[in-house]
Amino acid sequence: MTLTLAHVTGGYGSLQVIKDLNFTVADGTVVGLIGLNGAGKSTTIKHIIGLLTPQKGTITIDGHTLAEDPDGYRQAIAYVPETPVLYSELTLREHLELTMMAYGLDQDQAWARATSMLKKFRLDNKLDWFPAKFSKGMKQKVMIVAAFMTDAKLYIIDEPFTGLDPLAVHDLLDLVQAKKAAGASVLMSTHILATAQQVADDFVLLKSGTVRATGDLAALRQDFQLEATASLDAIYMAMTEEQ
Amino acid sequence: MRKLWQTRLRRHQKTQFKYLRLVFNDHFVLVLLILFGALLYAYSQWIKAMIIPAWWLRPALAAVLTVLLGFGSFASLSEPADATFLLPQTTAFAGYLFKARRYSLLLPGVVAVLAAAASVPLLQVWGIDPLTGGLTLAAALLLLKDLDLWLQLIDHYGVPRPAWLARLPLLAAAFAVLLLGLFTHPAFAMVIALALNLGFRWVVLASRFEPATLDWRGLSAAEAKRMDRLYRFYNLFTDVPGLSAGVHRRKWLDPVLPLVRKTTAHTWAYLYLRGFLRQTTYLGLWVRLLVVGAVVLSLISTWWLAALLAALFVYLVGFQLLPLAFAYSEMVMARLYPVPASQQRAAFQHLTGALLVIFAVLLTVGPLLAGHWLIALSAGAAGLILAIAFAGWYLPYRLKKKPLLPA
Repeated sequence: MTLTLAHVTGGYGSLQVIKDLNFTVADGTVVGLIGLNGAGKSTTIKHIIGLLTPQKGTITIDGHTLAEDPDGYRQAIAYVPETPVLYSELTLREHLELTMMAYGLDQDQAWARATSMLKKFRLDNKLDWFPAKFSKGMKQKVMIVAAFMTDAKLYIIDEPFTGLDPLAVHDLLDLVQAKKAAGASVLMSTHILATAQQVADDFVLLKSGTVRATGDLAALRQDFQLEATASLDAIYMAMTEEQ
Repeated sequence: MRKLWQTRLRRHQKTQFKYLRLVFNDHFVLVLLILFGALLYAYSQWIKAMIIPAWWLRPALAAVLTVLLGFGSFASLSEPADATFLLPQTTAFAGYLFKARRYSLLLPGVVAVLAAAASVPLLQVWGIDPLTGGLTLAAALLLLKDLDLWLQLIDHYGVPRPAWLARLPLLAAAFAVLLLGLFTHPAFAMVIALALNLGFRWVVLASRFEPATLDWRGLSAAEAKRMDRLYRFYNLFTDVPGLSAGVHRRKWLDPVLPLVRKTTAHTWAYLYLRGFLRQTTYLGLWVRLLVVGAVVLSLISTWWLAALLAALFVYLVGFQLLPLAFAYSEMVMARLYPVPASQQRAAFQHLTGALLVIFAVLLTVGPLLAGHWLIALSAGAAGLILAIAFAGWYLPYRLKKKPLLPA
């Protein structure tokens, strides 16, 4: 699976937020989408998952755009939003069941995957509760379980760590690694740079709606002319200080 | 305080007009007109047919008037922030609340006058002069409502008073007074209502009312509850921003859920069925209209009127279900599902059709229990025709006008 953004320009209505974005998320890689508040991370993600339509340029998954094959395109993506969105009238069990139905998953296999994650997140005894009434962190865990029990080829995770306890952050990173090992790709936007540096193979640095730099840590160090031990944090600070 | 009341009132009226315009859209006004006309006609036929008045008629009318009296609560238009910002003005705020009380009398006053006017033909049946009888009955109702609103107002103040000086005993007393008035002449009811009203003003208001004892939090909580009820009503007709629909688990309804199979093709049906069963508004409304409709139909003896009313009830239910179609328009995850967009519309259409057909069939239980076979048949047929027309023709037309998921 390869996600490719080619000359993507877009935003809300006539307001342009992202300009001429070019990057790819290759097969079996974890890509960190990094940038300041308002740099266009969430807007980029909204374009990729199809909530917004690019004004210019194309977004393809394995060469197909959303318009060419809407169901296949959506089938390939699993998405964890920045703020958990849940149905107020569905129980946790029904949330997972609905996701399985929508994505056409085999119920037995999907439940097997879901149950082990639910145990890990200590949600397995809350299947008949309304998750809309959970705390922020628990809601986020529900979103993670729903996304990671699918067999999507591309996982898009928007700012996943806020509200999660440290144990859950570890568990999530394990899930990401497992999906990567299974051949899936992950695009993850985050402000937690230390974690991003640890888990991501490549980075896309966004600055005011444009791609400032892409590549792995070594390439970024070279790009910003920093020493060979510079952390992602140092690179990030160097980017913000540029005019 | 006067200025504050005026600004609040103006703002309140502006929003209400906005919503009322949406509630009374062209279709709904048409339906209401037909319903109103049919009711008037049935009422006039019923009066004409009544030569020997039944013994229960007077208690029944008194009960109806008492229930109408119960409608209309004290609208203070207060806001939670008042408790913080207007706290130093607590004493002066009583002036604001008095104005609010007077305004709250407006709508119930209209209802009282209309109720009195509708009672006039019955007064004539009992040999009471229509002019004086109607006028004094209206006056009695107004005086009682005035007293009711005073009681609702002092509920928010620490006024020392006996336990029986409350709304429920007042309504019981109102029933007795109205009954007496109907047996003799409504003028007697008016005199007693006047005595009660003045007595309350002299004894309780004049000497025991302490404007500094206002319970701010109780006041804003009561107003929030009142506005919530109002917006919930509006929400049946249009989208009210910021109103979150309540949800009940209703576990006892779970046996219904397996009706939808758990396959990709039924994704939206799965969701809509649960929305209907568990969101507070829809199921309750369906059941309420069903009970009212069945009772009304059991009382009717004209076949074409029964058919008209059955069709009307089915239309009303169908119309009230419409907002459910858009209940998930803000739901990001639902927009990402890899299911064809047409499935959502089909699922909602299917659910509405099934609910309306069941509704139409169950409506006939009323006339069947009353032993009216012809009425049941005509009502059932009309209801079914409208159910199918609504789901098959009207619904697609409505859903075409507004996309289920905004772009």
